[in-house]
Amino acid sequence: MSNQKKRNFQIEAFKHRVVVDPKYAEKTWNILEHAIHEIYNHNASGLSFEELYRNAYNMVLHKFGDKLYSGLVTTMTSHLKEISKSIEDAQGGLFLEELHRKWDDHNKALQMIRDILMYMDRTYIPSTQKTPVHELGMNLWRDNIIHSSKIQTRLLNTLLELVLKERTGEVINRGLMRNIIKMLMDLGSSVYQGDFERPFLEVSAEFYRGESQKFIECCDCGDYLKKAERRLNEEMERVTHYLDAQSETKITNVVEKEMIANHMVRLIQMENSGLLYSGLVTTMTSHLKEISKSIEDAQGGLFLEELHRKWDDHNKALQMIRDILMYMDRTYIPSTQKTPVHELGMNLWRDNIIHSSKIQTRLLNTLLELVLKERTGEVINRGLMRNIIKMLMDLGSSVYQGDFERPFLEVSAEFYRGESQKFIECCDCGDYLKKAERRLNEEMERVTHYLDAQSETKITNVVEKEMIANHMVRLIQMENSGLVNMLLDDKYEDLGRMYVLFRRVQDGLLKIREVMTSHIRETGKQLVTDPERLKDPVEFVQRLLDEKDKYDNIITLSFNNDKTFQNALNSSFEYFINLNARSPEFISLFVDEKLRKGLKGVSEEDVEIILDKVMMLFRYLQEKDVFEKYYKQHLAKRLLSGKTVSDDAERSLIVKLKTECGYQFTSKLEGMFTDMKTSQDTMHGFYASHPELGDGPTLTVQVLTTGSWPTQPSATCNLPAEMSVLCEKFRAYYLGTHTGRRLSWQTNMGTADIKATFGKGQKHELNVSTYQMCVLMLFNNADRLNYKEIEQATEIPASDLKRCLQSMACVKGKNVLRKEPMSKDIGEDDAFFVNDKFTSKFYKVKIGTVVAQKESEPEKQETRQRVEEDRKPQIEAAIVRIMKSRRQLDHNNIIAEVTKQLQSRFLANPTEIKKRIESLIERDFLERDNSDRKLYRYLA
Amino acid sequence: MEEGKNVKEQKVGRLEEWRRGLKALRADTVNKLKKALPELEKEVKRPTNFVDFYSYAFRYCLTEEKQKSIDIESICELLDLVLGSQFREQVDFFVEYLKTQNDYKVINNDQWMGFYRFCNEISFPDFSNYDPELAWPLILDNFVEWMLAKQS
Repeated sequence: MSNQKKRNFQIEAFKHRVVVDPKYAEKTWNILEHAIHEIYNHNASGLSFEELYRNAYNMVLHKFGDKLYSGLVTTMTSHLKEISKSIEDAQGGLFLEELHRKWDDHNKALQMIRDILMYMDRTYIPSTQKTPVHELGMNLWRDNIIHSSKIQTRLLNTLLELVLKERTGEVINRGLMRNIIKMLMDLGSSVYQGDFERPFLEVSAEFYRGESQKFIECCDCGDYLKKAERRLNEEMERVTHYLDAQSETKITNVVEKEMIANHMVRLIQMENSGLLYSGLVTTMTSHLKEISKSIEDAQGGLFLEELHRKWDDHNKALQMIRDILMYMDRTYIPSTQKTPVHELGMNLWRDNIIHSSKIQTRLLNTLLELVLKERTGEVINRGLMRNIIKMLMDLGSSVYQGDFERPFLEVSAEFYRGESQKFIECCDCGDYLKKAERRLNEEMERVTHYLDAQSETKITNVVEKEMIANHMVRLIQMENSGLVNMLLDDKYEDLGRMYVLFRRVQDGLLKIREVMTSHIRETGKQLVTDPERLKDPVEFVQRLLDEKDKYDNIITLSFNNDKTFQNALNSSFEYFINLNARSPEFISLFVDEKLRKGLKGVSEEDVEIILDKVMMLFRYLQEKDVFEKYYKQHLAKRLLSGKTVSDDAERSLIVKLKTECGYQFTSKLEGMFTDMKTSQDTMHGFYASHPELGDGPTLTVQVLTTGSWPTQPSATCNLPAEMSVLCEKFRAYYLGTHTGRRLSWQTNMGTADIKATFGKGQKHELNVSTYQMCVLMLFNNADRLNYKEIEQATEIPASDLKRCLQSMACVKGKNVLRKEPMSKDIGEDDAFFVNDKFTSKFYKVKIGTVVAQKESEPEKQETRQRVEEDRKPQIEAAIVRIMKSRRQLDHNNIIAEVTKQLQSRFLANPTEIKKRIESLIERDFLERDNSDRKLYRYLA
Repeated sequence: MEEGKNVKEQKVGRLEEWRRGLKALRADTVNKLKKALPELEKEVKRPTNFVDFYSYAFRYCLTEEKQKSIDIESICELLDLVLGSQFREQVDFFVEYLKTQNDYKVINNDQWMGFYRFCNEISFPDFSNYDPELAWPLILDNFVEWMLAKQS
């Protein structure tokens, strides 16, 4: 490769020098200047625009833009000065035409010049921030022509003169006018506004001021307004023809101000202008009188239709009239406080048509007749009815009310008064209510179809009053079908209807409630005081529950779950349940029965339902402590005999009692459950520590905590030797593990299972009470024993022994003993033998002791006494609690507060409270106030 | 026991009190005592003093420690003695009532004082201003009830 240097591509400067002719600018400009002259002289056709453009281009390119631009200004200015002269010289009317022609020429020339100088316009001018060619031409025209001293004023005067001519009715050359104004707008809004619009508005204001003054003196209001309106329209027309659209508001403002605003009050007060209004009234009235006649002439059924058609026509006419008289409506009427046109039309219709003597009554009667037809089942033209009623409403609520609603309500009241009288004579309560309900619905429907919505309460009030309120008591007490019968027969639908209807009238529900309450109280009272019912406590409580369910259903299904009804039901139950002092005992017995066997195989939820119902009855009890007493006894029996169906159910009920009455109420009951559990463990322990006892009789001991159980101190009987040995062992074991305790045997509460073999070898297992066991065991060593011997050997209390012997010797199928002499009762001289002929289908024979399920009279007395005894400390505690916090309190308030505090457990007797107070006084807890005899003081 | 032997504040009855009482009366001889007695009786019967005397009479009969009430029989005697001259009728009927009823075996101080107020305030024997709603001891309610039953 050669060492030759690699040459890069280079662009070199243009080799030959452009020789610039020193006269070049001058020459070129001369050419261009000449061309401009030619353009202005209308010789442009001989020019080569391309050459001219190039020349102008080159000048700018060769930095002669300045020269070109200033040359243009000078040349154009000189031409415009010439033009100005020629315009000034134009005579009279030709002035504007000349101006317009020259303006046209100038614009054309300017267009051409701009084309030639386009390059300058695009490059030189923006960079030097000079005025662009077209704008320059405009400015120069403005400065040299429009603002020339001899033209400016002349132009303005000429224009204003032409406007004035037009205003006075002459025809002017609007085209020329438009062109000239257009020119001013083209020169910029400042030129249009300054050189024309402002003076135009001033002159116009002056003109209209003068004119309105003239008019107001000689015209009446209507004429004046007509003229003003025309002027306003003229000016608006002028603007569309030859002024800038933006001038419209300005010039109309001027007219409005000068012609209307300045003269408003005078116009309004102008005499005689009222003519229009009174004319309107007269004309319309006369038309309406004619209409009235045509309506009156309408025959029968066509009457309403004609009325409606004419009303329609009238409304349409009124609309048009109002449009025409809108100005009057807006200015004259408010200032004179006359009735506006539309309202006037309504009033005139009312006075001339509706209140015309031949129409008013006929209309009302027709309407009422139609309503009556509809009520009696006919079909009427509801659309027409609605239209007519709508007309009355349109005429104002006073017309609707006075001409229709009031009489309608009166007639309706009369109608329903008659109808209800008829119905009540021949219908039963349920039918009557059905009819009343239908009527009520019909009336409400009627309102929605063709009456004013506000009429609804009024007409329903009428129906309610006439059909329900006036017959309320009679309906409720109606024989064989009244409220009580509905309740008895569970007529949910009828009861629901009665509830809904009676709710509409004052005291309606109160009446139902009163009757229901007294009925429940009465039947409840019968139920709880009926001696037949008292025979079976379970049945007794079941009846109460059924009764409660019945009314719960009625209240839910028919009485809308009304709280006030629920309260009435509750208070009624509370009332009658407590009429029977044995209710607490019976409720506890009911629970006992359920928990012994009634709930066997019943699902957990159903058990809960039953227990909840029991709790509901429990809540009604005033003497809850009595219930507690019995419940405790019954529970003890259930637990000790192992007869309870479900531990869960037992505990569930105790939880319910606890939530209802608090911890104290159930603590002992819970203690009983604990004892049962502990006893089981104890027995396990006992047999574990005495393995040698496996063969002999089995002893099961339940250790009951004193106080938790309803035990009665009773003498222990003599146990058979086998058993008493076992008992002593247990005692030793128990006291060995629990030092410091005392055990005593409740032989009256135990049971025993004994195996017996009878004469012919029949073997049976007998389930007996501890007492019975003691008696039977005696016969292991003797064939015959008389009563006295048995009593001596066992030391069982006489009454218990008699019962126990009776159950073994006198009950068929259980007579394991034979008695001499044979009789139903046990005598002191009776003798007893083992009944060798005893037979039974069963291997296991349960020999129950003859026990009354419910308490006998003396037992009841005893329980009662214990309850009273238990209440004393509770009352005293309540008194002390209250007095401790109040320090001093008067007698009545103590009674009230104590009663309140204790009512969750029992109803405290005021006399008893008084006794307790005196006892507390005696023990210096309280003292009487020295001066105020009602007052007690607490002694701390 | 004589009313006159009881003096306001200086209660007489037991030997010690007896001596203090005589001293207060400045009665160191029987004659002086005889002279002082009518004065003494007047003073006791003044209403402001009498209520204290009446109250004392009850306490006087409390012979055992912690004894708070007095058996009906003694009460009947005591009433006759201290109130018999002032409220003959009331005392007679009340004593009759006490002897026939079974509810009360003894009378306590509250009931005792209550009866005095009762005699002073209640129109007898019509009980027109007796209000059982007021805090009269229950025994008086029962007494009034008994009286009314008897009257009708």
